[in-house]
Amino acid sequence: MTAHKRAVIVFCAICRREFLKFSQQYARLLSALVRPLVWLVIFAAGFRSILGVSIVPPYQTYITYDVYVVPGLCTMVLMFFGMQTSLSMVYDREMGTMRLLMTAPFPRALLLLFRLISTGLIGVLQVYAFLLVAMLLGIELEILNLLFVAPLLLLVAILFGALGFLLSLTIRQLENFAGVMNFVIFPSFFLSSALYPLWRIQESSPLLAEISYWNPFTHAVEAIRYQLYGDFKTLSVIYLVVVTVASLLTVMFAYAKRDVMKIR
Amino acid sequence: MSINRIMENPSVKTALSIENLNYSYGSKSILKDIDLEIPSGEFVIVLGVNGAGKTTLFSLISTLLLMQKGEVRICGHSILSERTAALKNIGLVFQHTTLDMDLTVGQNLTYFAGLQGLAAQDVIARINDVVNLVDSRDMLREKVRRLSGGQRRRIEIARALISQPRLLIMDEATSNLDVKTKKVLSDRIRKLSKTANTTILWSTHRVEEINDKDRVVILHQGEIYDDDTSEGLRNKYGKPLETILMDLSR
Repeated sequence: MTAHKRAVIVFCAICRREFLKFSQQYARLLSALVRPLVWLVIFAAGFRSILGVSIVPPYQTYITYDVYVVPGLCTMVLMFFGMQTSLSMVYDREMGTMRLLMTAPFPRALLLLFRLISTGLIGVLQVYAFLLVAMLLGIELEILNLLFVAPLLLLVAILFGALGFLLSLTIRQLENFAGVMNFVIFPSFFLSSALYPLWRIQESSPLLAEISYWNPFTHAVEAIRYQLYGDFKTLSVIYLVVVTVASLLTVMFAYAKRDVMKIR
Repeated sequence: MSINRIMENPSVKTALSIENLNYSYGSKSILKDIDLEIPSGEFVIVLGVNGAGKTTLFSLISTLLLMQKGEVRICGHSILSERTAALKNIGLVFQHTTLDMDLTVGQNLTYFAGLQGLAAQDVIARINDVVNLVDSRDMLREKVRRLSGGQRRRIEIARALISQPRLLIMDEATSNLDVKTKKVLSDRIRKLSKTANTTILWSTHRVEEINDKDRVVILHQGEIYDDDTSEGLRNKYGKPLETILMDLSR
């Protein structure tokens, strides 16, 4: 059997397991949908009259606030999913299933990459489920743009998954996870262009604006925003690719060099 | 079969070869200068009280722990330089369960077969073979969460055999099993070492699991205390294995 064929078999096995597990977790899908919808339906409705969004690229005209927040909420879905991936890593470690993965006769780095891609694919499906409901609620998006944004969504999902993996290395017990998540998710979300354009942060605090600018979450939001409207934000995509590759390499190095027994 | 017998007959292939293996957690030495050679098809018991270093030894062989000093070769492949090739020859039954509780037995076995890179056309036949071996065919559609500890253990043994490993490593594998199941499984696994030429490395702290003709490696405080057949050890020390073990633990 060729190495490529073997790789496909291993990837399919990991993907199948992740999809099987996800298909049994209705609450997870529901929470992935409800969380951004709460922001879209309630938060955006409340702030619609307070936060006016002037014409900012890629939009060609004035837009309502709910239209503005959709790309940020897509990114939020992926970030929560990435963090849940790290939670499942901690769970797998505690339950012992991680040992099985780590002793498979296949390069460990590729096993982790396959795991990240397969969970990333589930994250992308969750975003599409959210976008479908958003469209039913009146957000206008073109089908073609929805298709073209898929690779970008997967890239962002892999990035957040990799960051989640790194986070999982620092967490020794499942019970500690919720606290750590709060320290990561909310600052990342608020220090980005997900809820307001960066120029608005710049007006009140140049320092926070600078931090927000370097936040990968900002670039994920902007890259998705542009792609959803048929445009391509080169700088943000390059930034995302670089950060994703760096995170993946760090994860692979960390797992290759660490004792699986000791990670517990 | 002793190391001397292998050296007398170099044509005998070695399933597992360990040279000068050392391992420590910080300043605490867990394994010291372990040298062990196991030829293909042999059934070997690693006997030791809790904390003797059995699980650490198995974790190093299975690459769960990183090697610090020494060399481990599985069917001639170094676990350092040829990790993938070495792991292809191993089947593992861990001390604690590693089954996915949310999946069915069939899904667990299929997942594992995929991780081993087994082609789809072979998977069903292999799964049928191994579940028959452990009398668990009727459990294929059961969620693992609903199985008893003993049933889970049987499935884990079946899983380890899917890839038809040349070396089967079982860390306290028959814990949680009732006496009858323990006997049946033990007999079948012993038979495997003869019929399929599978080498079995079986760690335990229960002497009742050992037969007279079994090769027994006694691990004590991270060192190989002795290495002989059960019968040979009994004759050498003039007391049963249980007493030898109890004396060591004092």
